[in-house]
Amino acid sequence: MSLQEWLAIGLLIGFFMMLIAGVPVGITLAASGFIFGFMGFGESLFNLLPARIYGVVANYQWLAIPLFVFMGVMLEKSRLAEDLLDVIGHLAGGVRGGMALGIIGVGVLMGATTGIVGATVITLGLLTLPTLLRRGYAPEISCGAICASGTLGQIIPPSLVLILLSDIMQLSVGTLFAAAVMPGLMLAALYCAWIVVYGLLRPNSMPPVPRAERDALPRRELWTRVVKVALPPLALVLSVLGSIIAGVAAPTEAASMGALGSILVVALARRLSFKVLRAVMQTTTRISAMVLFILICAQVFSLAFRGLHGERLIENLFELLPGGINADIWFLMALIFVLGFFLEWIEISYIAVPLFLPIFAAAGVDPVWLAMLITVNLQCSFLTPPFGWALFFLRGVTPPEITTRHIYVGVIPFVGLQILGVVLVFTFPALATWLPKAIGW
Amino acid sequence: MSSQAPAGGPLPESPPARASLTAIVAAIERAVDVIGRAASWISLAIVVLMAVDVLLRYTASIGSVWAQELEWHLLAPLVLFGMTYALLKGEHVRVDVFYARYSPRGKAAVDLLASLLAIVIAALVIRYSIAYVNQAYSIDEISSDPGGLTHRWMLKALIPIGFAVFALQAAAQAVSAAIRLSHSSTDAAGDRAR
Repeated sequence: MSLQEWLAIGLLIGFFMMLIAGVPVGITLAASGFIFGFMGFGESLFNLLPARIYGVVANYQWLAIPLFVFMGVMLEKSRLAEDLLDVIGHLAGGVRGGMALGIIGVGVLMGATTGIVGATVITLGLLTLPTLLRRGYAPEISCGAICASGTLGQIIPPSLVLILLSDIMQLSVGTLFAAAVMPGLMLAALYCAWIVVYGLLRPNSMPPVPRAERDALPRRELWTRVVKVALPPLALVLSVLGSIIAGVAAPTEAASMGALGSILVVALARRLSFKVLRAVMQTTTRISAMVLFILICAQVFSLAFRGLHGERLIENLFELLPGGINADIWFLMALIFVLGFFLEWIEISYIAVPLFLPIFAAAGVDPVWLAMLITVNLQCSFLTPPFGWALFFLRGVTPPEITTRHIYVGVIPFVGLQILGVVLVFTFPALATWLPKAIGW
Repeated sequence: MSSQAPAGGPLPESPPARASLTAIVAAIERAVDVIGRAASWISLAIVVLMAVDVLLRYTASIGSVWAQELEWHLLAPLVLFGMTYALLKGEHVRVDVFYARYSPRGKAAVDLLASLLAIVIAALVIRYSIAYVNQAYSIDEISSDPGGLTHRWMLKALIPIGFAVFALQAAAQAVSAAIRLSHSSTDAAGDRAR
């Protein structure tokens, strides 16, 4: 191997070491890129850096990030989600495991509004876990359901993961949004099926809401509350998603309508105040800048990796694998799954995916299908113990009687369902490719 | 992974020699906070401008190139000043598997390393981008679309300016991490002496 190839390996190792040591992701990317780039090829390639950075921060497509974050944070800060959960809890009350099913439903809805996994898991955890425990639900299934449904936000459009993947894979955001609808709903259905089965296996782990309490709330009043609380955000989400998927508006345009709509919805609920608006603006600014800062730093890393001929290294690695392109896909899936134990989706999307992309492009693999395999797989990285992001977020808001073990044990069946999801998308590519084709993206 | 706790935090009780350093750090962080709060208005500006533009375009077929360009011109200051605001609030994501279990001294050491690296990175970005901005300035680069915005060099100049502010905040955090580091090491020495 040439010196440069050794340096490319050094780049990856150096990056990984700093990352594990706890240096922020963006700093890690840029620092390792500069250090090994200077050792390998000096300054030449880095003269391209300003143009690359400009391409990140002056980019029409990336406007979708602050807009969708704004919409999500606005709906979250306004505490509309809280009311939503309350109403769904009552609606779902009758069925065994009904509240757990309700949580999956809320996860789908919130995923469609915010697309921010942390926000969804924390909100669900804070608002529903105490209620579930009070109703006699077992801690394991409660925690598992909350973590799993909270992570649906990263696959159900609009989601930051899909927006970033669309850039990395050179696909349109609309195509990926459309492609993710079926796999996202399929995962939600898998979760629901598991909860129903679990309810049959262990009826005592998920008792229904007592009849007397349900009778105390008249049907008519319940439905009025459903209309008042659930309808506005639901209509907002459906109109934003609908206009993107129907091709009426470009995703960035639809995002601006969503952001404006979220202000209106919150104003209609009489919860819009200057304090809320200011908090939303500040959170939006920090989250959007944080994500795009990583993107800026990833430019340094990718310049260095390219300059050190890292692609050739990866190609050689794949040539060692027997069994053609399907084996390559499963190798990538296994790699992402294993990386998911240690890294989060941002690093995996920026490091692992671009490294392997040329191989699959050369082999003519459908990029939309591949993107969905990656997205479903990436969701595992939120859930896999011991380092899953969703688990940390939930741990931060659980009452003291919940142990880390409850969360780990509870989430394992859902990781299994997630792997089943990857297998299903692999076996039936139409799950991912049908909708984008049907609407002509 | 998670975001770290606000990186500055209350600084340890410091002898007079450190007091002036602490005061400088506090002044920088106040300034960055003001810049960040100001920049956060851009997010609302983007929402309003974009929504009005889209509504006018779809309902009245009124569209203008400059409005559309202004939208993504606004993204640059949002990101380039927002990234320092996020740094101040400790919201840049990191893998905290081990970090969360470090001693205060270990955390201070990693924070110091990260801050120093951030300064170097910012300095390099500034170094490369000056020529880039100069070039845009010397040819008086404007939008390639008719009716687009002029003075493109001002937009590009936000890159070195944004990273200069970033370096300043990183320097403030390096100082406070160094103070925490030396403080905890004198503590440890004191413990041993006892």
